[in-house]
Amino acid sequence: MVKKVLKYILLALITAVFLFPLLYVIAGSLMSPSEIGAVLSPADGKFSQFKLVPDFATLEQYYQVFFRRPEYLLRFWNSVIVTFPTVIAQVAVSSLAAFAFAKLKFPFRDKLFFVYIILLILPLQVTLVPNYIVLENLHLLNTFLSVILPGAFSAFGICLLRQSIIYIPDSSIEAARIDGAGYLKIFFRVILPQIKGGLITLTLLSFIDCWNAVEQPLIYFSDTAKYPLSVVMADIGDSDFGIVFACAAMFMVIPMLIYLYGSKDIDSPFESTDK
Amino acid sequence: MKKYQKNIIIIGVVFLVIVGLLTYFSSTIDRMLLPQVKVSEPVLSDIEGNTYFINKYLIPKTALTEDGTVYVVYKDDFSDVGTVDEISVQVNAEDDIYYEIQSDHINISQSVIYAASKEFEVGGRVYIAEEA
Repeated sequence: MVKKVLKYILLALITAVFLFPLLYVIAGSLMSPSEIGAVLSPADGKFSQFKLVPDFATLEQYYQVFFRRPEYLLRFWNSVIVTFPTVIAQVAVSSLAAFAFAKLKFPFRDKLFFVYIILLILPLQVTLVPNYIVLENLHLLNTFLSVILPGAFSAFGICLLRQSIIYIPDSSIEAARIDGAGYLKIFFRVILPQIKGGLITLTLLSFIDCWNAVEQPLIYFSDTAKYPLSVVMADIGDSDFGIVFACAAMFMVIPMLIYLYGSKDIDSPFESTDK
Repeated sequence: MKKYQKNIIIIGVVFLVIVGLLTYFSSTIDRMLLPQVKVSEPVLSDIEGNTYFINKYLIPKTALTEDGTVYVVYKDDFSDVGTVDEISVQVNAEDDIYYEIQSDHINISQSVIYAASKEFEVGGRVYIAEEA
C-alpha cells in the first residue's frame, strides 16, 4: 500500500514538472501587462515573485495578439506554410524510402542505409552550410522551399519507418505479388495499413521538429517577414512578456491537437508487428 | 477514423479558420473597437485673423474641455490610429466657432480632438475617423 502511494506521489511530481511550463504559459497569458511586469523583472527576465494564478484574469494579451499586432498572426501562418508541406513530404518520402530499404533488393542497399544512419548522427548545424550552398545554387534562398525541401528528406524518418516495415512478414508481400500487385500497390495496400503507428509517430515528431524550427528559417530567410512564429517569439522584447505567453498559448494548439489525434497510436509504433 | 479523431480535425479546422479570419480582419476589428474621433489641426492665428502671433491658435469650440485642456492625438506610423494626450491651454478669446488658445505644447502639426464617438482615456488609443 505504502509502495503504491509513493509511486503515485512520484508520478504526480513528475506530472507537475512536465505540466508546469504549460500552466505557466496559460497563467501568464491571462495576466495583465502590469502584473506580468511585476512577476517577471523586465531587466533580467528572472522571477521577482512566483505566481500561477493571476490576480485579475484578463484577455488583454490575446487582444494584443489577435487584433492590435496582426504581425504575430502572419508569423503563425508562416509556421503553417513551412510545417505542413514539410511534414507531408517527409512522411511520403520516408515511407517510400523505408519500404525500399526494408523490402526491396538492390545493390549496395545496406551500405546506403549505413550512410543514412551516419546522416542521422550528424547534428543539424553540420548540414546547414552545405544545404545553404545547394539552396543558393538552386536560387531557393529566402523562399519557403528553402526550409521545406531539406526537411522533406529525413534520415530519422526513414530509419523509424524502416524498423516498422522490416518486421512485416515477406509472405504477405509475396502473396500480394502472386495476386498481381505491383510495388506501389503493395506499398499502399499491404505496407501502409500495417505501419499506421509508425506513420503517426513520425508525423508528430517531424511536426514538432518543423514547428519549433529556429535555425533553418533564421539562416535561409533574409526577409524577416518570412520568419515563422518560433523565430519571432524568441525576439519579442522584454517589455512584451505577456505577448510571448499569448503567442505561445496560440502556438501550442495545433501540436496538441495533432498529439491528441494520434495519442492512441504514438505509444506503439511497432504494435502491428510486435504482437 | 474514430469519432474523437473526427472531432479533433473539426476543432483544428475551426481554429485555423478563426485565426485566418482574425488575420484578415484584425485591423478592421481593432478599429471598430476603438473610440472613433474627429480631429483638426490648430490654426496659427488669433481670433482677429492675425497670423503673426506666436503660440496663439484657433481650435474648434468643442475641442476644449471644462478643465481648460484639449486632447491631442499622436498618430502611429502609416496608420489612422493614434495615442491620446491631454494638454493644458490658456483661453484668450472666442467667437461662435473657435477658441483662441495659447500654449507652449501645441503646434500646427498636432491633431486636436473635437468630437468622439465614445469616451477615451489619456494614453489610450483612438481611431481617427475624420481629419478636418
